[in-house]
Order: sequence, then structure tokens, then C-alpha cells
Amino acid sequence: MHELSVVEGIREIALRHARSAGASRILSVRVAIAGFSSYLEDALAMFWEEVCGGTEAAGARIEIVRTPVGLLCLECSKSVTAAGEDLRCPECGSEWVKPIAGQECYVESIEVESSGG
Amino acid sequence: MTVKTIQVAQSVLSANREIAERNRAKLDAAGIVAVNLMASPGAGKTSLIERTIEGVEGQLRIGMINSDTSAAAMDAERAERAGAVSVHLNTAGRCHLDAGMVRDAMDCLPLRDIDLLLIENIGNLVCPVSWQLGSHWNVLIGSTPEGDDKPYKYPRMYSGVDVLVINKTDLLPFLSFDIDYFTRGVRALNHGLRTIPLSCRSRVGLEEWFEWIESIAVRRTAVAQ
Repeated sequence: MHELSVVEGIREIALRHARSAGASRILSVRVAIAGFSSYLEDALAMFWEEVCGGTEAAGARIEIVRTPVGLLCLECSKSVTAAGEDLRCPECGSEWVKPIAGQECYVESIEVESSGG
Repeated sequence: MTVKTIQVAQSVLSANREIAERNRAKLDAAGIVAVNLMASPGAGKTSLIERTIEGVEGQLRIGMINSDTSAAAMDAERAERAGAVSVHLNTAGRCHLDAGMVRDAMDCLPLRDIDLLLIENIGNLVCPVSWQLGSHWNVLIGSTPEGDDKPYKYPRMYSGVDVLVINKTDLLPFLSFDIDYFTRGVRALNHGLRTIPLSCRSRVGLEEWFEWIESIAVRRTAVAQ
């Protein structure tokens, strides 16, 4: 159910940027989600349709890209990228790593249509 | 008709974070330390809260925000009976607290009469950790019957907390809970995490928890003066 709160946040950001650009309709929204986060893409897409009805975002596509998890290795001190689900340091194999908190989920860009322009 | 792309690059949680920052400022102004207590359902959040209220009685005045997904207010009633000022927050099915809910709940509490605010989050190991509330400390209460694989299954939660309590240690003789396997998972996700094993039922280990609670409250008071 937390996907609902997240898509509401995405919609608000998209609408705000579209309105300030004088756009009449949002065609698509590109969203980046950290690979470590627990948001399910299917659930996001389902709620997305639901919450956009009746707004300038109605019918807009949602594109979701996964961003890799950044780790700081406390053994070799390198900043590394996790290999999928494996949270060991890919450089030295140490388990002493700290996930570097990144942006959990953010709106990268929106594609909009303006009438008249 | 023209089509164009607008670069946005804005975090979805930024609106929540702004409210959380305002909550934090309000708590700081009132000299209150706030602790966000997260756990799975049945880990012993309310039991630890009851023990805490008893343990710091006469030293700290405790305020409570008890959340539930329904109108059932028995947790808030337990906290009131134990001597805290409490507000019951019904999330109406939502699976986590957010900063706006905590802001509204704080408005219902006598902030001037509180030293320590305990915020009991919804029992859930997935999303509460993603939503900042404005609290100073994030505490996870794990419990031995949940199993030793929980850090591996809920990495976001285990990596996002400041203190880990392991409750129900009195049940260890009856469980196949491999403490080494559990600890390796915790260490991989949150190296150096302060871990306090205890049992709310047998009361073994509670002293260390009380000491930690008193240390954070006293330190904040010292800063405020």
C-alpha cells in the first residue's frame, strides 16, 4: 500500500512542473528508483493510473528505471556499486559495507504537451 | 501543439522530508527528544514502551504517539495506564507513519510537559524506514521468534536504524535462532549498529536500554540549556 503514497507524490511533482511550464497535458513521467527500495513496479503502475484520473496526467505513461545501490566498503574504503542483490564489496569481497543512502525515488523528467505553443 | 521534455530531478519524498524538518525544529524548540520505534507486528513494541515508562519514571516525562491501522486503541490505553501522555493515531489502513501524521499528532500533545516522545510506528518491516518523521533516533525492535534471517530479508530497515533492540531473548533456548548468522547480516548492512538484547518479560537486559534512553534525553537537555 505504500506505493499509493509514492505515486501520489510523483503525481504532485509532475503536475506542479507541468503547470509552471504552461503545459496542458502530461504524456509521460520518468521515475528513478534505487535498486534497494521496496517499491514494486507493477503496483506503482497500477496506482499510477488510479491517481491520475481527472488530472492533466490522465493517461500518462510511467517509465521506471532502477538505479544501482551504492556501497561504501569499510574494509578497503572504496565507494562501489553493489552487484545486484549481493551486498558484499565487489572489489575486496568484504561484508563490511555500508549502503550509501541515495535518493530513494525521484522524478527524473516529464514529457508534456502544450496547446498553442 | 508542441511536445517537450522537462527535467525535474526531484525526490518523491521531498515533501515529506520538509514536514519532517519542521517537526524536528518544533521538537528541538520544546527540548524534546523523539524516538521512532519500528518493528514487525508482535515484536514487543508496546511491551517495551510499558517497561520504558516504568523504568524512567520520575526522571523523564514521556509522551506517546501510538499508531494503528484501525481505531483499536488498546496500545494507547496500555501506555496511558503505564503513566504516559498519549495520543492514538489511526492510519486508516496505511502501512507506515509519515511526517504529516506525526505533525498532526504532535498538535494534540502538551509538548511543554514532555521530555521524551516515543512514536510507535505501524508494525511493518518494509516501508516505515523510508518515511522520515522528524524524530532524532530510529530504533528497530527485532525479536527472536521472527527468525535469524530478518536482516537479509529486510535490508532497508536494518540499514536505516540507529539502534537495534532484540527482544524475547528469554525464548532463545526454545528456538533455532543462530545469533552469529543474524549478527553477520546486521553487520553487513549497518556496521557498528548499537544492539541491545533484552527480554521485556524476564526483564533481563532492560537496564542497558534504560541507560541508552536516559543518555539521549540527558544529552539533549544539556544541549538545550
